[in-house]
Parts: sequence; C-alpha cells; structure tokens
Amino acid sequence: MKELVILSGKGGTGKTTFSASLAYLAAPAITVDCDVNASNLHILLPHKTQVIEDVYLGQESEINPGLCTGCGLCFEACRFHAIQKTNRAYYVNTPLCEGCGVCSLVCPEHAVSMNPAFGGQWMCSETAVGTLYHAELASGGENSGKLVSILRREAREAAQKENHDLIICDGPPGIGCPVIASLTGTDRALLVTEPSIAAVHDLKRIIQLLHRMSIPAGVCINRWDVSPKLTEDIEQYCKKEGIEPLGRIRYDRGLIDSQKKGTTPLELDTPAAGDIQQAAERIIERIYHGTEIT
Amino acid sequence: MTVAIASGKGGTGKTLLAVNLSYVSTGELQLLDCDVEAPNTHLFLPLQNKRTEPVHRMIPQIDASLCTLCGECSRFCAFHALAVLRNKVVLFPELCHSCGGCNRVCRLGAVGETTEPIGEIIYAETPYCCHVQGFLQVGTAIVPPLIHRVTEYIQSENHTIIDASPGTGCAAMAALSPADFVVLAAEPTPFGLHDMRRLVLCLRELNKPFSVVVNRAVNTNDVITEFCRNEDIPILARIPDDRRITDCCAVGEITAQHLPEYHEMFLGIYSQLFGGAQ
Repeated sequence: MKELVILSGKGGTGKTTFSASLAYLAAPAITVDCDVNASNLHILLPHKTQVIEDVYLGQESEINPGLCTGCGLCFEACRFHAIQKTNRAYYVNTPLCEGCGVCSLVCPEHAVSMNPAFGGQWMCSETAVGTLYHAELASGGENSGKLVSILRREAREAAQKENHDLIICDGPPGIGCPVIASLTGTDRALLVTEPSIAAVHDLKRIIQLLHRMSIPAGVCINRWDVSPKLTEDIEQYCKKEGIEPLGRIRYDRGLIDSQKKGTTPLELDTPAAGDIQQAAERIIERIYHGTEIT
Repeated sequence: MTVAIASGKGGTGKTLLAVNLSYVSTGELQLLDCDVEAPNTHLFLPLQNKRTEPVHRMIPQIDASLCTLCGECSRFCAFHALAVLRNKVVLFPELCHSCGGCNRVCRLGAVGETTEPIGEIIYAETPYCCHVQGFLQVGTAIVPPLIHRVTEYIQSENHTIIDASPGTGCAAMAALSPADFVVLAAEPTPFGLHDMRRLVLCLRELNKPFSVVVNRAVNTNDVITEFCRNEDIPILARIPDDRRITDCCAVGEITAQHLPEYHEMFLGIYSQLFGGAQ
C-alpha cells in the first residue's frame, strides 16, 4: 500500500483541486482530507456520509466561579495565556487552553476542573471515486495533529481490509503540527506550488521538512504562466533538491467551476483540465513505478 | 488598536491586505507577521536595520541523580511526553507543550527546565511601519509559543496589524487573541465560503468584532456577500479579480504602489479600521 500526501507550504496554491483530480484518476482509491482546519475535498467529491464520530482530544479546564477566590495562582501558572480576569474572579479562555492541567494543580480551592475537550468530528463518506475520510476540527480546536493521525489510521485500516493499494491525502498548509502529522510514516509527497515569491519561499521550507523526514517528493506548478521565468527557476531549484517536476498547469479561472459544480476539474471542459490530467497521470505512474532522482 | 487579518482558507489575500494597509498607513504602525509557518510579509517590504532574536521554549530536563522513577511527572503529563522506563525517564520533545507541570509535580526537584530553539523573530524598520516577523524553525511542531512571543511586541499606544495563519486551529487562535478587531480576507468560492463560515463561528465564540474584505470579487452577488448579508456581517471592501494584482503579488510588489488606482481603496479600508489621520 502506498500513501501520497499533497502539500504546499503556502495556502491556496491548488492542493485540494489536485487531490480530487488524483482521486478521480486513481479510482477506486482511499482519500483523506488532512486539512482538518479547512477541509474542502468533500466539496469536489459528491458523497454520502456513512459514519460520523465525535472525537474528544485531550482536556480543557473550567473554573467554578462559586469556588474561585480570585487569588490568581492559576493566572500566573498558565503558560498559554488561557486564564483571564474579570472584575474579581478568573475564567478560562477555552480556545487558548491546551489542557495541561497546571491551573487545576495549583488551585488551592479546588475550583478548577478538567473536562474532556470536544475535538471535532471525523467522517467516512462514500464517493464515486472511493471512500473519503474527512473531519471538522472543533472551532478553535487544539490538537489538529491528533485528528489527522486518527483519520490516517482509519484510512489505512480500511485500505488494508478492502485491499486498496493507494491512499491520497490532501494536506494542510504550513509546516507545523498537522503537516508533520500528515507526513509521519508516509511514502511520498507531492508539492503543489505557484510562481510567486511567497509560494517559493514557503515551498523551500516544506522541502527542508521533507528532507529532514527523508520523504521523496515531486512538484507541480499551478498557474505557471503567471511567471514562466519563475516557473523555470522553481523547477531548476527542485531538481537540485532531488524533487522531480511533474507538470505545469496554466492559469485558468474556469477551474473554479469545479467548486461550484462539486466535481473534480477533470470532469470539466476547461483548458487547465488537460494540464492537470497529464500531471496527475505522471504522478500516479511515479507512485507505482517510482525511481527517485537523488 | 490591534487589528488581525485572518482567513479560514489559505491564499485568500491576508498578506496582500496586511502589506498594502501598512503601505497606505497614516500613523505609527507596526506590522506583525504571525503566520510563522509560512511568513511572507518581508518579501514585499524593504527591511532596514534588521535585528534577529532567537526564540526558545521550555522543556523538562530530568536530573537522574535526584529521580527515584516515582512516575509523578509522567502521570501528570497530559500530552504523554514523559515515559518512565526501568532505569530512566525519557522525554519525547515533539509531544511536550512546555506547560511546566512536570516541574511542579516533582517533589524531589528532579525535573528542571531547559530551553530548546523553536525559531526566531526578525525585527526591522521599513519606510511604512515597524516590522516584526516570526520564523518557525523547520521541524518544530508546536507553534503557539513563537506566536505569543511575536505578539509581545505589540505596543498598545500604536496601531498594530497582525498577519495571522489561516484556519481555526491553535496557531490562528494565538495570533487572533490579542486583536481588538479582526478582518477576514475571504474569496468568493465554495471553498472560501466553507472555511470562512468556520472562522466566523470561532470569532463569535471568542467575542471578537470582525468584518470582511472580499478578495478576487467578480460581482456583488457572490456567495460571500450573500452570506454576510444573511449574517449581518459588514463588508469593508471588495478587491476586484484583477490579473494585474495577481501579477504584483507574484513578484513581491505592493499593489497600492504599483497600481495607484487601488491606493484609495486600501486607504479606505485603513481609515475604517483605524480612523482618519492620527
């Protein structure tokens, strides 16, 4: 079984559009939306949700105002700025609470209780291209990495049981906790970038992370014709870093129709659809018959 | 007055707004780039007199000569970052949230604290604003401590703009928490709407006042405008879907400077947020 994670560093470069296209071409495959902060893959894959499960991740603290004497020990001890003061008592600003329990430990009045923290929901949906695992992180949710790990575990179990040989993971932006959780133990990454100095800056950081984790990757350049020169530079840079350029997709506002219609871009009659198809075919080819440039 | 620029989805124009509002600003302004995983504002601004501050976080350090392997620290740790083996206590730093609880529960004083680098802050001057930017060290999973350190630069007597990370996770929360007001950069697509809705819920829970800037607006009856109308959310401005803006952003040019016809629009947003000239 192979697992491919689609990443970018910068947001909004086309990860989800690409992930849906790959799922369409590789069908039946298992897809996972690891961007639990802003999950969008389900919008491009018409689906029927089969399983919804609440997830409790860690804990959060609560101060009983009847017992709080306003001594402020919890306020001083909290390293997450989660304890805040009203006129005389203190309260917990829940979105900032990481659930460590230090406030509860230091409270001499036993006024602080620790409760299970609602982390969001994970879902399993049937789509025309296979099973989709996705989630909605609770608003202000801690622990997005943990939710990603749960999704990937469920997807791997299902892939084994149903004898699927490919899992496609639509990754989150950035390089922090949910990205690391998406990459841990995966076989291969696909980077989707665009020729802008911001995207290149963030691409370099995600490449550093891939090197640290020893994960091979390829790269696709979206909206390449916004700057052919920068596209050329990105491809040169990637080759030097051992990352194979696998395709260029032209700037095409017609791609937004896939979101409006709720289909993958490959089902649209728009110029960039052909570019995506070519790139996606090459990626799938590499997954199964991959030889790495090093 | 501190204004954070946030978005549910990534790539909807947070940095575009942050940089252009700084460019048109009329008073003392500081710009804080709190998108420490993917910081980009420096690519648009001429930075002078750069100063770098390394940022560390606390992690436990066990003194084996004092430790009796009682397991108190490991039992307390909500993040399972400490494991007691037969002959020693092992720390998994990638799980540690730096709460300091282990240090407090150890009655023998065997759990001390040491520091670990998580990134750096670059402080610089620009012709338009003071610029403070956090860079997360690649490979670091825990993001909020660095963001908190960046936001400690806020001087409440000044105007401050925070460029936040996308989403509603702990990184975004850390960047939004010091804000008096939040501007949502939203893109009128189904993805943009889906992710903005989640952020709106979150901001309401936080009791933060907010308004919206529609980016890449094609007309005035898009999904974001409709949503804002139904939810009574004010729209500050619409940045049109102009390929020349995309081109400016691609090469690191400030839109209000290179396409002067947009200067007034950004100044209008700035004045609505911070009032007129100081």
